[in-house]
Amino acid sequence: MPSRAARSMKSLPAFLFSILALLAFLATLADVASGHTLLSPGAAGLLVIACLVFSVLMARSIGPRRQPVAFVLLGGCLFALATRLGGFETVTHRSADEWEERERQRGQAVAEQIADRFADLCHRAELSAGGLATEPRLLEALARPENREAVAAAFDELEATQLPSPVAEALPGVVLYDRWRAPLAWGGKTVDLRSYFEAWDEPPGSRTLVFEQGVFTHLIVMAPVGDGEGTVAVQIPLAARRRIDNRYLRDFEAAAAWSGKNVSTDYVDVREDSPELAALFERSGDRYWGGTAAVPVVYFPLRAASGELLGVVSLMAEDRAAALLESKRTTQQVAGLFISMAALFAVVWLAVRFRYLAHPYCGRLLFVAALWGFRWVLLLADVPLGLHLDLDNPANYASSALFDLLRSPADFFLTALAIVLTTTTLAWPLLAREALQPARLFQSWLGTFLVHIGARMVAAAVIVLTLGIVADTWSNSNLALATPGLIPFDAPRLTVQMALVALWFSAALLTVTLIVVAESISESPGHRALDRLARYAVMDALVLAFAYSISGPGSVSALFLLALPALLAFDCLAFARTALLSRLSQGAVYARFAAVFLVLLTSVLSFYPAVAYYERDVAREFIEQTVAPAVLHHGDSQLYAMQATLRAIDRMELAGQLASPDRNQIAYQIWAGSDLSVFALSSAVDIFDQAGTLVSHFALNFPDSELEWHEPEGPPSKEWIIDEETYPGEPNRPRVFHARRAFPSPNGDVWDLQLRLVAGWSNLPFIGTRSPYADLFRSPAAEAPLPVAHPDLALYVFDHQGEPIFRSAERTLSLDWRPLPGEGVAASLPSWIHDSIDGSHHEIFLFSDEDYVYCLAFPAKSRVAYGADLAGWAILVALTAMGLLLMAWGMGWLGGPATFRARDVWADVGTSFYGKLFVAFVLLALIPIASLAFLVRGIMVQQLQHDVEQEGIARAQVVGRFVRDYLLLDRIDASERGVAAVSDPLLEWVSSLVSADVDLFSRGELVATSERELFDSGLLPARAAPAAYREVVLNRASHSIYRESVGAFQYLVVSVPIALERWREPGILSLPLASRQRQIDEQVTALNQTVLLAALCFFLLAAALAYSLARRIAEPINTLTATTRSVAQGNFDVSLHTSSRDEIGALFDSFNRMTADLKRQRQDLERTKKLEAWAEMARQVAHEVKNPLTPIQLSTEHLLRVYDDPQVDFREVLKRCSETILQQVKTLREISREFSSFASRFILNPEPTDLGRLVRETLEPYRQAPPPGVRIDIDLAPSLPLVALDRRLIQRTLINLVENSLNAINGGGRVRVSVHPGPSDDGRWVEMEVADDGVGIAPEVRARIFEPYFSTRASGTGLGLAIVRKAVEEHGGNISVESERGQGTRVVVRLPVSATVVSKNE
Amino acid sequence: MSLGLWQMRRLPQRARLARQNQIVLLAVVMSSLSGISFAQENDPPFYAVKRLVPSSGGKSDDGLQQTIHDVRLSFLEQETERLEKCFAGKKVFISLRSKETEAGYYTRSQLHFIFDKVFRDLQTVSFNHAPPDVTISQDGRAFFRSEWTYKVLGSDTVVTEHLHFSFEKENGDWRIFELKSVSK
Repeated sequence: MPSRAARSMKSLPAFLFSILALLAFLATLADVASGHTLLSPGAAGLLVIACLVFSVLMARSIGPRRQPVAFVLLGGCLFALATRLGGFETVTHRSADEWEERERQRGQAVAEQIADRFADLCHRAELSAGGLATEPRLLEALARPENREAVAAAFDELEATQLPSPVAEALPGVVLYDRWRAPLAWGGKTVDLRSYFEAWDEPPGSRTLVFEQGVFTHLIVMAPVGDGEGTVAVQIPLAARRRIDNRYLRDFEAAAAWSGKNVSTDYVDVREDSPELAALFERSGDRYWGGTAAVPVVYFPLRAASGELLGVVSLMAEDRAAALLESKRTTQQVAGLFISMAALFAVVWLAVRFRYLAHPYCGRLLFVAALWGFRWVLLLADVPLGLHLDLDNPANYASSALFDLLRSPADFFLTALAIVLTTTTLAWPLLAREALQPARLFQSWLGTFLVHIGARMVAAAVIVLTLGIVADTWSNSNLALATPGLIPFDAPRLTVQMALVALWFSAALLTVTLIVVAESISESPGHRALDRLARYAVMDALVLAFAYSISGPGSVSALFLLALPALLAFDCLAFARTALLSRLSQGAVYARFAAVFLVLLTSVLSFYPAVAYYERDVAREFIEQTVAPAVLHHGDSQLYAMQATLRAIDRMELAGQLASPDRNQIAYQIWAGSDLSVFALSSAVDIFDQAGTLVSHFALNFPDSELEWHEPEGPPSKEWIIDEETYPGEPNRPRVFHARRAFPSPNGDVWDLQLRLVAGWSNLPFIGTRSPYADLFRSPAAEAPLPVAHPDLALYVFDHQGEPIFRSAERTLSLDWRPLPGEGVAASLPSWIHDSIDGSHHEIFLFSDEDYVYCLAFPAKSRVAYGADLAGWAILVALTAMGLLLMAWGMGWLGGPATFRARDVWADVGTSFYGKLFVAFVLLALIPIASLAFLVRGIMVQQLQHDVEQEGIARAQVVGRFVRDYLLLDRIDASERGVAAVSDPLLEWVSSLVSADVDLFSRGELVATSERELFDSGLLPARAAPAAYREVVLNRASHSIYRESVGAFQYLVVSVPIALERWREPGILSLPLASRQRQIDEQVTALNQTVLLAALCFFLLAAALAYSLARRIAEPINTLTATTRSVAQGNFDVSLHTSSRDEIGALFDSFNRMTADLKRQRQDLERTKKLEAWAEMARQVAHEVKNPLTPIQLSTEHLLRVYDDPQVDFREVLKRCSETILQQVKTLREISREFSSFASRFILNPEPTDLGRLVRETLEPYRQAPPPGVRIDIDLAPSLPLVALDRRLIQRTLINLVENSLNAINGGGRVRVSVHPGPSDDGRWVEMEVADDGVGIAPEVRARIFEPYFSTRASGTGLGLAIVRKAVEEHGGNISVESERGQGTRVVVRLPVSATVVSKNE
Repeated sequence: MSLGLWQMRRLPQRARLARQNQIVLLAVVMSSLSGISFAQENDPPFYAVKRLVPSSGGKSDDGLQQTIHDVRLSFLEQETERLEKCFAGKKVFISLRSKETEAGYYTRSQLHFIFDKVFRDLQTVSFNHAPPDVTISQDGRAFFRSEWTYKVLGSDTVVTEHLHFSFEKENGDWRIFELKSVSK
């Protein structure tokens, strides 16, 4: 027999889970106590996970009283996990010496690891180079360079070669040089090694070196091909220099394998001389230890296979004090998070388990107080809520509106969640009208009016407050909150949007509750719903109109206009409240989902006008307050940047830098080290030698022109000469500041440093350049996202006569100046207007100063975009509703109230014909709609790409002809045009005409470009793309189209041949369609939105049709089912009506005829049964009465006989016969009482009763004096709930059952009576069981034992068990019998545990 | 012009050639006109370097010096509340290297919590500036540079960050509308 403890756990799995959870917990605890030295991190992690799983399973399996034990184990595991994640124990258990030793060992290990990886990279590069050096196709190309097929084959070979790369995004390159070091074929992205070859005229041979050019550092591995016929150079990008801080280079650097936390690498360029470093590592044995004792730093070399020094890696040890501090903080935060979560879970569990929430006031208030308490704990513990998704970053969103509760997206979400739980907890009883009674005071017309007006005023205040939060959220956020799309996935944005949905839902709930309360205490029946709705709408309008009128114009009054749709929508929700609540509490799972979805969607739609309003409002405010002043005052910032740059240059060691062999890079380094790069200003740096030769040059977004050489005046000095000149790229417009300074060169000459800065609007960070991929070169200032949903902000500048001066966008804006006559446009500025720019609707902010009129324009949101946003909100709401249902399911799974079970979802559909039809129709509609949407989108995108390619080809060919013709004309009369050959200014000019960048290559080398800085800085290779060269030059194709990439940005490039005089082979004219690519991306985004919206609309339409069709088909079936059920219950007075003439109509007619027939037959049957019952009754009565009559008759006859016989003692006979007669009369009376009892109905007198005690009291006499050989056992479960029952009836029932059992025990046995809760353990039933080991009942008899007048005994009326069943059923219970012949009988009486027992008599 | 090129692919070959010739001629004419317009430019003054007046150490505008003083104290004492009051009411541009905060425009509320995070992990060692680093423009804006040196908490690592502040007047008080980390 199982023990009590084991029984309480009810199952073996529960016992096992408990033991396993306990063991895992103890092991985890031991690991924590040992400072995490007992287990490896992986083992500890697995153990904690196991403990978590077992604890949860244990919580599910064991009884509710023992669940806290499981939660304690759970909390312990989480704490152990927190210490493990924080690493706290690991740090504290090590002394300073141990720590230093550990860090030294770690440094050594990491150093070896990095050196090995670098050596491996070098080795693989050398293998690649060596393999290519023996490649026949390369030898063939070197042998016959004039043969195009041979060279093309070399290109193919190089392009197909797999080259190693430490960074996935960076493309390595490979170049085949001929014996004169001229590149013959190449593949990938290559660098120009001319400066290396010029400085080191070494014989061809294998060499590995590091080469810095532009922003990149490359590993170069060279190998000789053949017997000095050529050289192959494999070029692998290693690192990006951080002097220019932009997104692309940051990503590149982060991905590089040779740097990271506490690790940095300095490469040694082949052109640098580093004997000190070599000597240092020679002395220290390749490991030089520096730094401090607390924080040692190890320096070690990166070497080529030949032993040449290529770089130095410095690896700093982790600071113990910093690690300890970080560890403490992490442990505290993680522990705080887990403890808070566990505590919150415990609060919810306690509230659910002990029904605190069932109490309308105190319990709910306590729950809310606990909830907000834990919200504050989360705040004070500074729990990390980022979850590696940037959810705790105030840069995304933060508001100080509500103390610190809204300091990040995650905090906003948690606060919104607490608000939702609070409003739901407190408003629910009022919403369900549990605590409301109509008040007599408000039943009058005036009272009702005042109550409703008052409720609406409060509701309006709630909505206005919510709108205020919406406005605050939009102001304090840098996220695109109005766009709720799931792709691209943006966790902070989605978190804030979910918080907003929660807030809107709370506002809806509060408002609906107020309306319901007003209705409940003043409800005046008799009004139809529509009348009431109209009446309430009028009151809404009255309240808001009044508030609007007293608030006056301004942003506050806008709130009241925005509140109207919400108030009206919530009125409708209040009317639909009953239906929604019934679906929520009793409906199928999908009906519950639909109800939740509907309520949430209504909330969102009600506030969507506010979303659209604030989206535009915030954008406008930003433009008015931030962008417009920046446009007006941009010159000041640029001048200040220039001043700072001049000071910075003064501090530089220019002479030392010029001693560097690679002088080309000096201008770039000066530029990158100054404010010019920090602010990404359009600027140029030039250095001339004493002879006027350009030594070094770099420019960003600054077109080259004929540079004027300024001869240095006087001896070198640090005085700057500053003047202004005309910006060559923009005729008439912005000025250029020109600063010039002479300085001594390394060889004692006087050189000239010139710096030019465009004081133009193109430097503004929010104005995009005309070259989209040039954005990658810009500083963080330019990367700063605009806090508006419209990133395409364009600036147009006009003079006061309306002549265009500047535009930052390709689209042209032509303002109609006629509406602004007279004193000029400044009279009516600043102002907002709407206008169309190239067919696209824009919002334009006009403002001016004394010189110019400025227009800042951004595209207005289209209707399609609004529709797509709404579709996105609907999807978000659907996901939220699913999440809520999942939470409800999870609570039930963990032991809370079982809202629904997982299998109910399928059961609801599977058991419903309507559900099946609906799901089938929706699926049938969804598949073709989704397929069609994908197909249409694919075809349209393909067509778009095709059009762009064709357009690009045509454009490139026209540009090619244009350049050629221009040069032809130029040759005739060069003096007028000022350009004697193909140069950057010419291509810049052409670029401005065709709105595309233009690059020109000759023999594969860049000759001229409209974007020189991109090539100078090394972001783009100054060599034609291999694909273009092979197709256009070698294969003589008319064009070549290929995809180029800079970082993650990809774009199409079209190349066409261009034949110019004096060029031995055709040049390549390339047009990167980068700006067009951006337009394509925008068009594809718009297309995606349109397709999504259309698909969603079609889907909703299909769902509505499916609903209608399924309803039409299933409704008659449902009606038929309900009617059949009614008929089955005995109601034959039903009939079905339909106007349909189809099969359904015929079915209904047949059904009606069938019910009519059944009704008639039932009446006949009832009559017959009644007669039979009467006959049976008469027979039974006659039979029962006949038995006692015979002894009475015999006794009477015997008395008469004896009376005349003097020999018999008459007195004695009289006494005996009288006793017999009296006994029989008593029997007759008993029979009469039983019949009467059976025929009559019980009148219950229920009272809360301890059933166990009643059983014990009733059976006490039997236990005191049991029949011989009989043992009576009583088994009562502890803590049985009180049951409302009629004590007398239940006592009689019990006695009847026990008597039957005693009768069944023939000659001795055992009777066991037990009382215990019902087996389902849901606390709703109590079972009383009477079992014996008597003779048992035959199956044929068992089927009839509850029939009246049925008995197997000679004596008795056969009414006992019939009366028992009747008594049990009157209590709302039931009775069942299990028996086996010869084994015994078990009778189970199930009684409901309910507050009241409703008698059927009442 | 560009539209003509865009639509050109739809034209017949003959018309396309004619259009191309027209474009070439038009381009030549335009370039000539541009050259003429260059030549006729009479160099109107736009901005002059002299418009930037170096401040002489706080004598020129006491309000600005007070704001700078508040900024300095905020960084030295790591007081977020004091610093928050120095920011403009509109969105302020921030680009800092000391913390992984993305460059962008932020409101006062956001800046409050951003600097809470920044100051939490650092200990300011010094916040210095020299008088020439404060400059007031004739347009009513001021620029200020400083050297902010801080120590990472619990570590010996000392970092110096050069900060560039831009001020403008808001309701009579100088307020920061731009704060960036610069190279030097």
